[in-house]
Amino acid sequence: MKTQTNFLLITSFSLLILLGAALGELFAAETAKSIIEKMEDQMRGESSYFEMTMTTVRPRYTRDVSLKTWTKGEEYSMILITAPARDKGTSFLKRGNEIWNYMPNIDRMIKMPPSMMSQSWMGSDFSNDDLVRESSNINDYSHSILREEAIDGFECWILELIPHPESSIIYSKVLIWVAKEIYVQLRIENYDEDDFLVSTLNFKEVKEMGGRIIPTLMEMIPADKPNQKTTLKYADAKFNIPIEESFFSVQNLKNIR
Amino acid sequence: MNRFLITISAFFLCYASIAQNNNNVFGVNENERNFRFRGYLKEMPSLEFNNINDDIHFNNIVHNRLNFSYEHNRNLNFVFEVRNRLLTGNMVNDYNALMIESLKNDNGFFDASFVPLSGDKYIWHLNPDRFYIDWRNNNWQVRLGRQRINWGINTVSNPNDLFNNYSFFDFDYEERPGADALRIQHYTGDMSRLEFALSPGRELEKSVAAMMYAFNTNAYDIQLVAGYYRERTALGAGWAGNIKTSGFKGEATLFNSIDKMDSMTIVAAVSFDHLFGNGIYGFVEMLYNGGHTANTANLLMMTEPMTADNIFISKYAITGSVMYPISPILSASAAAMYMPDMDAWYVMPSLSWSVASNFDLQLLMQVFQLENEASRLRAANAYLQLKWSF
Repeated sequence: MKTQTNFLLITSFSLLILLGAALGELFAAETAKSIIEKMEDQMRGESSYFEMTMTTVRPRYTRDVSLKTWTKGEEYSMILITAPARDKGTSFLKRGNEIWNYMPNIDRMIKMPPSMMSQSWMGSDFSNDDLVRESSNINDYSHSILREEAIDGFECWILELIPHPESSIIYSKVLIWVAKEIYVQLRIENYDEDDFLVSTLNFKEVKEMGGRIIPTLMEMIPADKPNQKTTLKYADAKFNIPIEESFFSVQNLKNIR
Repeated sequence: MNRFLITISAFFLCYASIAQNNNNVFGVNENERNFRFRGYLKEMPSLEFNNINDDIHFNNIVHNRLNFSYEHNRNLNFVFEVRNRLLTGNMVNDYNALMIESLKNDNGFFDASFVPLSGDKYIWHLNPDRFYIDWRNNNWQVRLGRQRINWGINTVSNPNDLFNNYSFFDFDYEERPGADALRIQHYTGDMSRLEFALSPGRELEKSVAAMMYAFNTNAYDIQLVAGYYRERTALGAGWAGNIKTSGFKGEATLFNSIDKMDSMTIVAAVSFDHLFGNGIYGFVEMLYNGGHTANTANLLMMTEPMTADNIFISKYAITGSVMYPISPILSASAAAMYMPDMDAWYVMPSLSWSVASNFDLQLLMQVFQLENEASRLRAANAYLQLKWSF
């Protein structure tokens, strides 16, 4: 139970951060550098609400977890598990580097150890570095426009991100496909130091949600395990919602529905 | 039973009068009304072997938990949850009268533990363990009825939990018992709150009334507890923070008898937890149970919750636990406990498998060994749990 809760927590926060990055890249301009800068601007001070379902796909089974999430900037987030039945009602609160978990069936609030945030979890297809990359300063990379290519009918720029040697990023290279007219990222590829593909993130079902054009389906596929993946499908999204810091409180952690 | 029925009736009368009289009292929007029903059905066969009985015992529990809640509006909520169990097997056959008597016994203010039907070979146990009205408005939350008031911080032992302790050995009671109480919570800030709770005893002196102030500072959750605990005063404090990337938590309570000044008791527990890079989550917890007296350690009642001032069957305990997610649907865990003053140890390995979305299968063992001058006990139990959540 505890490990399953940990799993939910880590993947949920990973997803939120990835999502933040994905949205941040919406309004990319024509140079790689300005795309990245706008991504940072976009992430800063933003608030959002999502309803989503995360699906872990393995050759012999799939498992769904449904969540509601509220975020304000990078500092504050709240997550409520809405399915499966076993975990429904469990909630998480993040304020800065601190995380709490609340289990309503035993009225128990647990302060999570910081190692929960700094480590990844092996069952998820999201690696630790997916977290680190998005949360680290964009200055850790040098960026360039590599070439142009079409995906799903969208003309895309392919941006190449190379981490600076002194950065702690484990990938040697990251490629990002950004659709030209709508400035939506459609694919991310992560490469290791031997230039082998580690994982691919595909962004699909681009449509309007919450007043923006966004990909509403995201899938993470590990390169060495092509028959497994983790997908994330959004059922609802709201952006720049009027939400105060005081929303991210113990009172809401215990009572949110 | 009468007191329980009266309370439940009062509960619904109260609701009915609110519902009928005025929908606008709480700014009710009809659409916000929400009835919820959920729970699970659990089948748990077990094999139990110990040196008290010669034979291996086979026992079975069909456990159906039913949780009802009705959200009248954003401010007012009604909750009713019940443990509904059918017990069969050797224990029921051999100790029928004793088990019925024990299951009927409710330690709360209300007598709400029932055996509606029983025979030589079966016992039906019905135990509503949550029934309360919850009202909240702005920074206030008031809850009246049988509820769980969890003031504990640690995983195994909770000296700050004055209202409802539980037994670490009773793994099958995942919700843990409730307390009959009035609880008022006042949220004084995003991360701070003041709580008052009163749980009347059947004898007035056995009541518990206490306040807690909880706040967060420098990445530490801190709580201070003070109150009256069954003819004693209680003063406690607890924290949850970290040392580097590991969690560091603890809680301690000082109990003092009101009439005898020399009978001071300290109960304290401290723990560390960590999530390692390979996915293993582990914790270590140490307990000092100053209220321990040799004759209170009834080993046959190990799964019964004890009291906050004598929290455990031994004076000292050290517990270690690791949990490892083998895959997204399979996880293994093991807990081990050593009780040095009793020369006793306890081990509980388990394997959990998510068979399908709402089906969980768990294989679990409990091994207990105690061998000292006073007593000797060796017990090994194996359990299988199939759970359907809805």
